[in-house]
Amino acid sequence: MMFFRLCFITLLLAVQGAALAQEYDPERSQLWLDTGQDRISTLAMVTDIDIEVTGMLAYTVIRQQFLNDSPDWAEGRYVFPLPDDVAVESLRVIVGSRVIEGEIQERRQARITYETARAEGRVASLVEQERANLFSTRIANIAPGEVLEVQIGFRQRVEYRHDNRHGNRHGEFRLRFPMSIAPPYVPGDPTPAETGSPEDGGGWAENTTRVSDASRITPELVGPLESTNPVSLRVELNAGIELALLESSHHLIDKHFERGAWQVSLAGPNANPHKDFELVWQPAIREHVESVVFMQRLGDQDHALLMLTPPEQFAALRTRREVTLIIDSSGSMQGESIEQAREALLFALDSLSAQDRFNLIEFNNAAMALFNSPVEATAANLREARDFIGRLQADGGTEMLQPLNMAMQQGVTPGYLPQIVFVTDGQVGNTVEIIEHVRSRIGDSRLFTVGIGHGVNSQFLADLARFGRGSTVLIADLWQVRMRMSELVAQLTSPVLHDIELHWPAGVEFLPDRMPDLYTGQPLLVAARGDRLRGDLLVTGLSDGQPWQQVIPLETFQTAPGVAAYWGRQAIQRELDRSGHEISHDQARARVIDLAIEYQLLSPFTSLVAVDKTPERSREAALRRQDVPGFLADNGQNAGPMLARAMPATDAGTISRLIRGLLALALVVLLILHPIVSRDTGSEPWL
Amino acid sequence: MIRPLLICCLLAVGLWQVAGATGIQAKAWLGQILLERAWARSQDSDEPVVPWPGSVSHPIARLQVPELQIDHLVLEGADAPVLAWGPGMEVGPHGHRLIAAHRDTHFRFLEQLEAGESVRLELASGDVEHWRVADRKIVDARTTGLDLGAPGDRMTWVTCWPFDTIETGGPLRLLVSLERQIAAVPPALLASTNSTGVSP
Repeated sequence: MMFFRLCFITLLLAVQGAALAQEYDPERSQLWLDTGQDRISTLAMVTDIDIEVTGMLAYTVIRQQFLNDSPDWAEGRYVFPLPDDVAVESLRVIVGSRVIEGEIQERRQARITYETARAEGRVASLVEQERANLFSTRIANIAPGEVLEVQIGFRQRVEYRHDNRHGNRHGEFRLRFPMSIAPPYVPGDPTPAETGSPEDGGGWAENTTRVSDASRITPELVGPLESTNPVSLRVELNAGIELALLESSHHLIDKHFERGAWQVSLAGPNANPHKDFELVWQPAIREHVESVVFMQRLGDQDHALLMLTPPEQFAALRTRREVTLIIDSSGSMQGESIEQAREALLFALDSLSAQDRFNLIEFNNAAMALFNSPVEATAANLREARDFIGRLQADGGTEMLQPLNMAMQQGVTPGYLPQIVFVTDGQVGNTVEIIEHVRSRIGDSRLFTVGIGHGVNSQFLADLARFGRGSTVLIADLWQVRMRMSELVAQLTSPVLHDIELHWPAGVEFLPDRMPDLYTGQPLLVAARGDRLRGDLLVTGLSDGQPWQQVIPLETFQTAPGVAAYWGRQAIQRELDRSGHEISHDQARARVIDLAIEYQLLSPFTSLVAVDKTPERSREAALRRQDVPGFLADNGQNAGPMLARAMPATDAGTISRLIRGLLALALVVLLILHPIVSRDTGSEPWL
Repeated sequence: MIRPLLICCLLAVGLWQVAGATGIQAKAWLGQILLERAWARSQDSDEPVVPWPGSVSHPIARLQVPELQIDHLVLEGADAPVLAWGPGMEVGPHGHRLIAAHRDTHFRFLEQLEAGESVRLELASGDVEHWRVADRKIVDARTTGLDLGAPGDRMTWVTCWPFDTIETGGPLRLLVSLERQIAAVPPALLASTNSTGVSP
């Protein structure tokens, strides 16, 4: 019987068989490093990142310096990632002593403004949003030998998790800054754009039927060993409270306390731009902070950001679970990523109890399930799953729809809570297609995403989890697996806070308008807008059948910049989410443009454009377009000439096991000997 | 009443942990014996020999340190499932050889390894390379990577550090770099040895 069950069931979606996917070819993007040497060296770039954190929001200015050391006039283009959910609000170009301020314009209009200025020989810059977390900058007419600086300002939210497990109460703040892009997988049939047309982004992939802007989101990438573009990063942290911990997860940092704030900077002159930056801090006070309100008045309206941390009961979840684990074993997961994914899966398997059911799906070009349908978590089945995980090899494409379909359609056993845990680096171009698919088919299942490696598409994974009514965790290094997965397992196995309702004093708009379910450790974040936000807010919900409520007085607030921009960003997101089903695309587009103009924000339909008023050069001088390479994420992959391998895990664990074992045996001996010894000395027998 | 229960529990935990530790050592020891057979067979064939059905890797080299009586068969790949059976080797595109093994099994001997020690590496092709320990250093795996693509004749050994810590999966690694010794080969043969033995 075992042998029959060992046979894997392969499911193929008939439709997708013919589609030829384009894969990132390191040789191709590397070509210009060898042959077109002048292409990169003529346009050097320095990136400087300045982050100021106040409360739950951060204001970041990213300064990019372009040096044109060629004898010709040049145009630069650079694709760069920003943190999730950012509200981009300012663009400033500095040429010599002149400062040119940018303004928000409708996307097509902005492009016309930019191209006109370029043709007229003026200095101009254009910032466009390619994805919610991917942006491009273009800068025209950099004079020979000139240094030109572009400053982009945006707001981002600090992530917060609270941990009440084991009586160990503390909150943890996390600030992430992506330093690199990993090449995405682009499925579909190629539909090449005309060279030089707006649809042609100059990337390594051609546009396809399924990813219509592939050439715009696939810039040339520099490997870890060719770090020609230096990056510096500074953080000013106004925590407002004493900290018990302040550290960076992947970089060496210098930190000191000055002018009432923590000053953090990357240690050493050349930071590794191929690893994402993550700063983590914990307040020294261990008391449970129930709620915080941040307020900003803009125009004649109050804007608020509320954070509320529900207290937790520790009754384990009474419902039995049916867990489907999906693992991405595509080529982009090679190297350390697949190791992390393996560890994460094993951790998730360990969380299953005997009455739970589970299944395991692996995918690259096609998906493959370990069992026909979910099976009981017996020792034999779990062993089979562990063997399966041990044999995983990362190779091939990333066809994500198949495994998700299999998981969502495999039929739920009545009386079980269906949970899908999706382990991937999220490197695909067809994100919109996948999110739409999950939104319409998720049913009663809950989708949890585990993001693996540096340069992970965390925005995409957060969106998937949002539509799948689950949560998301990110693991960038092997040593983080245990910590982050135990967070996820706590969420999978604890009761969720659901049916959350907000009762406002009067006349208040708030977002999200449909409250998500809250998992263990997650705070509730609400953005609100009203003429005057005063009075008490009552929050109610249900947890494991028990009603729960909390009152937040709006009178006690802290003023914080950026709250209005946060509201604007969330309002734009709401319209984008509804686009295509609740409201038409055109309606959504119009509303987004209105909001983006009102709050002066970048969006899929608005861009930032800056044009110098004085012409710099004659029309005749040839304008050469230069693509500045982005940074390739360093996940220790083995492909091609760019090879920074992460350290292998080299501890089998004999010593710790042996010491624990011998300690327990020594205790046994002591326990056996103790009565004899105590009787000899005539004292009272123990126990 | 509680006491026998406590004894039973502690006994069970103790035996389980000790058995786990013994299991790891046994696997490491057994792996080498099974690999020995596969290695002997692979000497006669051109294709990689699968040591046992369902095995995760196959032997690609034999590593010897005569001074310390060390003789290990090296597997292909340096992932966790491979390292349980023996040291694992990855080779970069320009020939950088990276060998990783567990600090508590096959690379236990790195503790006694000193600079200048000679090392013999026999490849599946039958070529024998002579290396010498050049340098040891301790690095933090969270902030340091290995440059597998580095050019030139290089070999690096990696294991966890320190050797006797109770902590499992710590961030520190011991890196041993080795340099190729070609002095033993007569100058006339140097060119041909280089072209066959070194290039990846």
